[in-house]
Amino acid sequence: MNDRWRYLLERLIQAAVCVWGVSVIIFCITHFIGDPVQLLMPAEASQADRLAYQQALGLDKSAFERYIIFFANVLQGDLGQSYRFNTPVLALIWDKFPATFELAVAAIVFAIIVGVGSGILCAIRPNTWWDHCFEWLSLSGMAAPTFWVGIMLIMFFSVELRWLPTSGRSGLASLVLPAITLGWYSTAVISRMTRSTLLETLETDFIKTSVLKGAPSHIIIFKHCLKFMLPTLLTIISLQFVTLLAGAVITETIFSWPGIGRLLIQSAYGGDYPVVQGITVVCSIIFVLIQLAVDVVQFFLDPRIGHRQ
Amino acid sequence: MTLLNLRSANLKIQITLFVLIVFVILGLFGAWLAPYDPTQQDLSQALAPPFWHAGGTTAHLLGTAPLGQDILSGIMVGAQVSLLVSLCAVALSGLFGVFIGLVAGYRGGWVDTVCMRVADIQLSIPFILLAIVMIGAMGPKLSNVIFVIAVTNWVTYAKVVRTETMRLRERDFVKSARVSATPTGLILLRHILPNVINSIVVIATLDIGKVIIFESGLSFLGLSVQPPTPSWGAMLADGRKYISIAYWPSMFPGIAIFVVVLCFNFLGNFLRTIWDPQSKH
Amino acid sequence: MQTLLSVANLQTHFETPQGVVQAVNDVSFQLKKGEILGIVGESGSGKSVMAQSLMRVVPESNLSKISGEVYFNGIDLMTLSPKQMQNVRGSSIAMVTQNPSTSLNPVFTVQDQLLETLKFHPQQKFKNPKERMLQLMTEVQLPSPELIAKRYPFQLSGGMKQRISIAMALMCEPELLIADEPTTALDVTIQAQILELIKNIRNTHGTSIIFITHDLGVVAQLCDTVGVMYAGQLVEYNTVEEIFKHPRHPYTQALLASNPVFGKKQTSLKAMKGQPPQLTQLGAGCAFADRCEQALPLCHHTKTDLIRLENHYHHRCSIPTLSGLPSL
Repeated sequence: MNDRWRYLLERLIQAAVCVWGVSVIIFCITHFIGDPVQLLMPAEASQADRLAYQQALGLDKSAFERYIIFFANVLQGDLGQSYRFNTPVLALIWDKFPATFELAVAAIVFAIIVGVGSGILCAIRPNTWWDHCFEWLSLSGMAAPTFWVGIMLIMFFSVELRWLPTSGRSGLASLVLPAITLGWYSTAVISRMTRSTLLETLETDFIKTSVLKGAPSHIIIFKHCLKFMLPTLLTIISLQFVTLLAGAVITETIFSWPGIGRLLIQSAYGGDYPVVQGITVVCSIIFVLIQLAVDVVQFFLDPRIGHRQ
Repeated sequence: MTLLNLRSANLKIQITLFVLIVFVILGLFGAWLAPYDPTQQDLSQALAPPFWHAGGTTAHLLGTAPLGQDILSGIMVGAQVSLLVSLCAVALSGLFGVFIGLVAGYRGGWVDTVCMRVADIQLSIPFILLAIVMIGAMGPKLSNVIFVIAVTNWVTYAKVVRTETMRLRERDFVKSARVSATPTGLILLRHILPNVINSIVVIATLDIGKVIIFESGLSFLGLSVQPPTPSWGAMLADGRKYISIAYWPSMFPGIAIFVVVLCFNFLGNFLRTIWDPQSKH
Repeated sequence: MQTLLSVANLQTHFETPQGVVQAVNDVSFQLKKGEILGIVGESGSGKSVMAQSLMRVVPESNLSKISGEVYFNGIDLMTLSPKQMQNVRGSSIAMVTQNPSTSLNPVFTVQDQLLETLKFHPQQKFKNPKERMLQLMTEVQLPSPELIAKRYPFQLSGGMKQRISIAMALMCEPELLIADEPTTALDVTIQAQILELIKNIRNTHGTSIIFITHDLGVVAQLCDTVGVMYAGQLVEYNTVEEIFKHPRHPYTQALLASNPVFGKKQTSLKAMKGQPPQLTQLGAGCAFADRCEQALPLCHHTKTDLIRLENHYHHRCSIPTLSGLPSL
């Protein structure tokens, strides 16, 4: 058992290293590629303010010391001040986060239900007309840019059919189109991967054993195959979820969804760099934590992980 | 593949290659082939519908944009940005990624660990966030966009090449080259690289489509080339405000992106099936 | 002794781009209760496909066809619906396959997989499923059954996994056990133990066994009757004594001649010339004709006769007099 806990510890350390690495990268971008004073201060700031900020940032000090200041701030939750709203960045993010989270969860639920469902359907009856149909749909799904899909959906369902609202966050109906737009690409990926993984699993010797034992088809697929596929599926789904959080930027812009993505774009347009930087740091850390959580779940699902053979 | 599949596969590939050749021609010569200058505004013709609708003329086959610019010309000239960014970014990220992958895979040890840690850290930052942060710091220019995409995209190449290199390193022909004191660079170039090149080309082909979508996403958000240079993403953004009255400014550039990316994906999958005999499904 | 299994004219064909593969070509035999039948043949002779055809686990599609009659306890298995056949598998007829390392599901414990078999066949009422499981695990000579039951397959050795596969097959007291090369992937010492185990199963439970192997030595130790397969056909089928003392088919004779005999000094082994034929290119004549030392020109284009002996035993040859016994 010691072996396995050691693996978990290694993963934790890896995650911590990732978080640290993210901070280094963001720091370098702000401080070496851009001019931090110009980026992190509003355009109208006075010369005196700039000098004061320069001192606060410790720009006279070495890069290493500046980094320590930056990192210490991040750890304490001080991501700077937004100068559009004159509030701490972290507070802003905290305020907008639930909307994005809601959208992302709706999108991934859609993607899982439709993706895994269609993948299973196609795998148990391969090369039928609907298998080919789904294949085309998936390929199209992966080629269509999110913003185009969103606009087309609005045009069709909101403008032409008037079934759903065009924008804003106002109840369940307004969640439908954004969730589908955001989840479209992931649905296609999950569908293809489920199909191919299930087809491979059905060829294995142990599934043949299940057949020889007289197991009914639904048990073979939903118990024997699915439990075996779960780690793979979980990895794919978590990767997609993480992509979703990023894709939310475009979807929220199109649907005027009041989440972090929209905040990010507005801040980028408005030159509010502290917010841009803050969101990036927070999202990256969330990414790392989600990956870690998924690894922990995998660890408990698959008895082979972490064992030194 | 049964005979039926083979014939329809052939047709698919022919259409795909045709579309991609048209794309490349437009990317290179679009500015001369386009019927109008896409930045030329003609307010009297603002939002004219495509020629098959009432009120449309054959002068503007696909209709006009909010300020009267010809959409067909916009699509033809906009191909340039997409082609340029995708080819340059994929080439740069591919070169860098392959190099890192070869070195990390061949050397192993701490070199490998460091490279992979850096890759993981980079993957932790969502591309679009990294792009916005970098463009925010550097300013929205074509060269910056290429740089940003190249810098964030190398990881896939590195990982695949590294795995392949580690596998090939143990093969006899590589071992015999090492024993005969062949310099490392030559081993990598002559023995290992030719064996990984197939995988690299497949990934690169699929990547081009991905990068075209990235770039058009960035220009949709206004973070790529600035007007008046036309780009497909920006055209979509322009047309967005008018979707309740005019679908064509948003729909046609989107179709262009969709078709081109779909073809690159087909090509990539096709190459994968002919080069990797193990992929049955 | 009652007849448990009666196979008549079993044929399994596959359509491939290269042509029709006659994997199992007109195979007929019988099996009594408590009898151990050995099926011998090289790789590609069709032995595994035949076993799969009996269990009807050959992938059924437009490209594969199984025909013939397989009477098990008086019922033709070929006429059963998929659901009915599913009930038969694992309860009345069970099978153990070749690869112990990949035959068990890696994400379920040994216990889960063993007890599952009982759940699929609720008609077998065992009062205490767990008791039964432990009892069978002891019978297949697994050490510390309670500990092993909680383990995952990857934590066990090849020999242990194969024993578990055997225990799993026996969970519902099957009347027929098909063992498809169960010892091929194991060490010789473990092989001996497994063979002993199988013999005990027949002796204790009266289970009929079809034992598929390429090893003549195993057949000599274990089996009551033997069927020799070549290119999809049963070229000889007789009791084990007759096969070894009076082999009638030239292939059987060649097989026996090419095996080293313990204690006999031989300067060289008598190898069979040639290669087994491509199953898509079988002509009208005898499939063994190209390699047969006693072949006559007519063997290459005359269909082989079925030369019947007593008790459904038979062999195939285009030259009836070769066997020394006239056809009945």
